[in-house]
Amino acid sequence: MDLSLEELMEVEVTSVGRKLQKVSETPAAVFVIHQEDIRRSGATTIPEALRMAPGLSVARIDGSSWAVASRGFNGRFLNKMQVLIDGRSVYSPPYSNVHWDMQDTLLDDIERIEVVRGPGGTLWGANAVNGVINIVTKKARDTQGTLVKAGYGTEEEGFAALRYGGKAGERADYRAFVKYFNRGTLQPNDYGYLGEGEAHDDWNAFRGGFRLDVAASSRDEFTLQGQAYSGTEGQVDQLWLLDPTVSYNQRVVSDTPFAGGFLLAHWQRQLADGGDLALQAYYDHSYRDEQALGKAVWRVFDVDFQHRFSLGRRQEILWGLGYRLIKDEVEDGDLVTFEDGSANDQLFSLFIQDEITLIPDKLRLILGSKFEHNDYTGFEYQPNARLAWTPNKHHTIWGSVSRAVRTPSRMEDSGNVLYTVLQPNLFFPSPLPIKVVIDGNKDFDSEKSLSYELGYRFMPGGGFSLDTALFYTRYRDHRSAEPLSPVFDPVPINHLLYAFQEDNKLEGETWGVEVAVDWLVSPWWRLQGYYSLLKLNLTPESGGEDYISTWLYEESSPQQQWSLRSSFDIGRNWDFDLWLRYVDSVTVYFTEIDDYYGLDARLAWRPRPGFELALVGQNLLEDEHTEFQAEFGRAATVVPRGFYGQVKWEF
Amino acid sequence: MPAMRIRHSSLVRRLLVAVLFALIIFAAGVVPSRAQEPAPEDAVKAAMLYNFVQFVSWPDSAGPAMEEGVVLGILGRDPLQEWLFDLAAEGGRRGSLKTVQLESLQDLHAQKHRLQVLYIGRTAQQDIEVILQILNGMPVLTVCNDALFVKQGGMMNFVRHNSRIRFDLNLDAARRSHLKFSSRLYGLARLIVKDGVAQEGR
Repeated sequence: MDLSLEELMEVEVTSVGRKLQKVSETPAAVFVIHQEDIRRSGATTIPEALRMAPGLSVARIDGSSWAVASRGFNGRFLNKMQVLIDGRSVYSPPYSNVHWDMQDTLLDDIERIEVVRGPGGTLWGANAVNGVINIVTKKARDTQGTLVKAGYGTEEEGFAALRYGGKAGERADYRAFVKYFNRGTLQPNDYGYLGEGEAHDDWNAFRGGFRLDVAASSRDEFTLQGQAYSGTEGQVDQLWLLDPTVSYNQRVVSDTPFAGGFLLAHWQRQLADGGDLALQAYYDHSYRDEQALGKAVWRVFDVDFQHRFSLGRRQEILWGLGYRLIKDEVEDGDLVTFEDGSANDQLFSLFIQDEITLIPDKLRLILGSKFEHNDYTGFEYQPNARLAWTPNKHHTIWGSVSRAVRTPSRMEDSGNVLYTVLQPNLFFPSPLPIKVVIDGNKDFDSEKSLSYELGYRFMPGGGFSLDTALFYTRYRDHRSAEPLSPVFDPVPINHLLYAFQEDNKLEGETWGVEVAVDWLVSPWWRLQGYYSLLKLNLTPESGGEDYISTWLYEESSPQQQWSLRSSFDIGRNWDFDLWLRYVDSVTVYFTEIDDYYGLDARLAWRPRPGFELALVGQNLLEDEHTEFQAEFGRAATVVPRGFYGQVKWEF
Repeated sequence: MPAMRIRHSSLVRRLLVAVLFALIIFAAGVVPSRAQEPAPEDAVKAAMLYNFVQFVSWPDSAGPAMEEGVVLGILGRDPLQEWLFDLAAEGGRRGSLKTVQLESLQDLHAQKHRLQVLYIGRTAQQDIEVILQILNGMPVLTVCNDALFVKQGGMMNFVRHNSRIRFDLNLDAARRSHLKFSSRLYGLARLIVKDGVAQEGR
């Protein structure tokens, strides 16, 4: 770094730990979205910001729900990705998905989002089958002073945020924030024979939080943070009624209230031998009441311990212990019913990882495994082996073999889903209406996967870098819905009941390639691009009869995606950003959705330090486009072109 | 739906042309500024430490080997040291700087006459008082990452403020050790301790 002292003092820094953990040397498919990227993308929610990461597919279902997946199987109830915010898992145990509408913070406080594609079970445990998203917020010392932000636009019908950061002593910093947004409806979907309606998917939420960092001594760092939020979102529910006086296929407008909060304490100690210890505990409370899915309250208590130390000159050991208690209370919804109204689930975990330097600065081997015990399937193990070869600072080649599992959710164990009602008509000449239900299964087992990855990073210098990953994953015991014999049921009216039972009789494979390029063309112009390709095959295992899931999941993630972002600095005081992306067509719930191009643009002006005016245009190419379909419960809506303006003042 | 796709591609092509055109126009009139990835904190601190050395003058008595370059001792373990080693290995342009890893207080005691700069690593911070006693009056620039270091009698510490790195100076401690800071450093410091009083820098 050939900069003068004055220049160095202007360089923005991140606390991405030790030198050995540089992203460019990590033997995994990692992409980091920095605060600067979030700011310049114009994104106002976390899932929208995730569109910047290669290999992820992000589809907006309606105003407040998203389907986000890494390497296939996309859906609102995608269950193969772990999401953590400052070490707190936000994967929802009752439904085995992430409720993206409930996950938010002041986006300006996010330091970075690390997106790991591929299995991360060894470190992050079950359900990190195809990816891990790690959202890391800034330390309180990096958010000192006041921030005021407000904006308004076509979809953003008013948002505001206030944050204040100060010192609570010589070695203690804190911040506190509140934010509110009100988002208008998207465009209604044209459901043909049902006619047009309103989208009804407007939403609003209020959120407040704090963080306190205390450097108790030169070796100890203590963090306490918490948040509370509450909001309401509208949607059109896709319900099925067995009532001949009305259409079986009902669209009902309802509101979903959601609320929650958490408290997290983290303590880290540097050890004299260069290692460190970390102890973390959190309590997280979540509530939502959705017409179709029912009402659910879940509380998670989690405590985690980690220890890192060097063993001799060539080995670094990282090991940890964890305990998690999940208590839930559920009430039946119109489509989802539970056999037990409440459950207490416990999870015990232990992991150990050894990083061995085979040739100093050139060849590293990482071996490790997670061992877990959960209440549904008992003992699970998730080992991996990774090798990274860095012949010089311009090249890194890495490879890995990993096993990961996806453990059953409450819904798969003891929930039942009313999937659809098929109404007799001209094209479906059945004598009786057919009700299709999917029953949970107490014997439902974990899904297993084995992944092989190969990656290459090329950093020739001059502000250019290229990151490529190839992967092949085999799935065994994947969730299937096995048909049971149809039964005649006279209640409430004569109909045939076709039940499917959840089972583990699918197998599958995915393969693909992801390429990301980052090029600082000149000091004031940066280009970032990616391309990803994904292929997925699902087939029934011997004895399996599920030929439907194949249709549901094989093409729910786009086969091809690419994106190109251009960031211009026009002088010191203007930003001009353009972001073009392409998403291939997908097939969700038997419906094909066209491929689309999205273009966002942002222009920002800083008339004086700390004061920024920004204008953002989103999805500029088309009046509207569809990104996803209702899987069950929620009718999808259409994403329109949007604009908003924002004022931000930091002092 | 092929009709849809055709509409897409022509729109996109038109748009790409427009974007390229806009880029060319913008490119003609831009004033360069520094668009940079956030750098690792420790890398910036290491580079700053390297820079400091140019703005400090040692008394003639400061070690016999001054002509051969400045010797930087690193006491204890600290993530900064990997970057310092790298910088030292690259060396060259700004005159040579040699790094010495000091394993213990005994080691510091034995080698203190060789040093011109001492960086107190994270694991040694608990012994700051003892370290300052060992070096009492010697012409060694003491640097630490602890934001309270200058108030404890050290000469310089880094301090992070809203994702940028600043530094504090203790002129009293420097004077006791017969070191002189260039006035350019005064202008950049966040906090300056002088005559027993801590004052805000610029």
